Amino acid sequence: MKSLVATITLALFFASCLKESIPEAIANKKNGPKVPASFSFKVNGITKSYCVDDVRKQSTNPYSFSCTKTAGRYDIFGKVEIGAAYFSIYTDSLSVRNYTYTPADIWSTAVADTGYLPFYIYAPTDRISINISSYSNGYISGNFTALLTPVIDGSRIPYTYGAPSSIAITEGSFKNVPVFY
Amino acid sequence: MPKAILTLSLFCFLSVQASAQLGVMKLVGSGTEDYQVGFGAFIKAGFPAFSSGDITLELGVNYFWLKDGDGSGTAMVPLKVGYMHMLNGSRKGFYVEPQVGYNLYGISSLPDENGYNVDYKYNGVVLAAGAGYVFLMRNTPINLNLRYETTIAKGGSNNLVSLGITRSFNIGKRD
Repeated sequence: MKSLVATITLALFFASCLKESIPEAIANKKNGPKVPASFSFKVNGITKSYCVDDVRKQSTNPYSFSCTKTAGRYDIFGKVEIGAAYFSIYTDSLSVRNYTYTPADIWSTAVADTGYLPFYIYAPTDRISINISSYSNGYISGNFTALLTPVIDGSRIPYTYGAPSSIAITEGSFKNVPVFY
Repeated sequence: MPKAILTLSLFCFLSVQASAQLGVMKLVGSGTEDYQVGFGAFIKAGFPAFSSGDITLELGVNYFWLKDGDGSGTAMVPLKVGYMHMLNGSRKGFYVEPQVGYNLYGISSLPDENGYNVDYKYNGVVLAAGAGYVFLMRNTPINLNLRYETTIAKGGSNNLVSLGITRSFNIGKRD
């Protein structure tokens, strides 16, 4: 009796270690393994991040993560829990390499926000550096840093900007962002 | 084959003392966060095997709805054999009951990324371990029990925790 209880208990334990539910296992066998995706960065030391278990099933209206090809550039968008990061790589052919832009290249381009007012490449000392570390199977991964200037009043054009290069975007990373053509 | 098993099971239930159970249960583990609390109903027959326990045969239906409803959810029909071992050697008090069986029918109807329901059908092996307490209420045996059960199929497992109440009744010859 005791050995029967112990055997079934051990079998239950090992069976429960199967990480997927039955429908998940059936779906993954049919569709392939999940593609986890994430986007994160620090804004003056405060971490913002968001992730999904399977980017193939992400929200599509709007997308949580996307890299969209338009004329002459790729627009990268990554949602975080409040706000997002969005920047562009100016090329017709995306490759694994580093891309760095200053206001001389892309003046007055919003790069991020934390749900309120955006941060721009605006002041002469602003810049963004994007490193594409991987581009395969229709997904890109990489990291980025930036020095940005905040908009403090966006109700009128031209905007009113805050202290130049006062927003430090550090430890920015993105993983398995899908590329759309 | 499943029909033969079902027929034999029903014959057994009609031949000996049986009990009927209602249970509240929750799916646990990966991919279960979208499910509401589920419900199950069972009939169980006990065959005296030893002085301190019965061999049990249980046929049940478990159903779990998704929180965002619309008819989506998971249903399973397990048939299990177990051993109900009374810890104090009598027919009342605490007991433990390991079970092993087969999921006669399982279906999970879940929405895909476009909102359309997709049906996943499966059978699988069922393993369960439970414990409970049997007491008399107006001379009727009542059984409160807690059970952990896993159904293994297709490389995955559906795991649940169940809190049940069972009432015994005599259908056949046994007193």
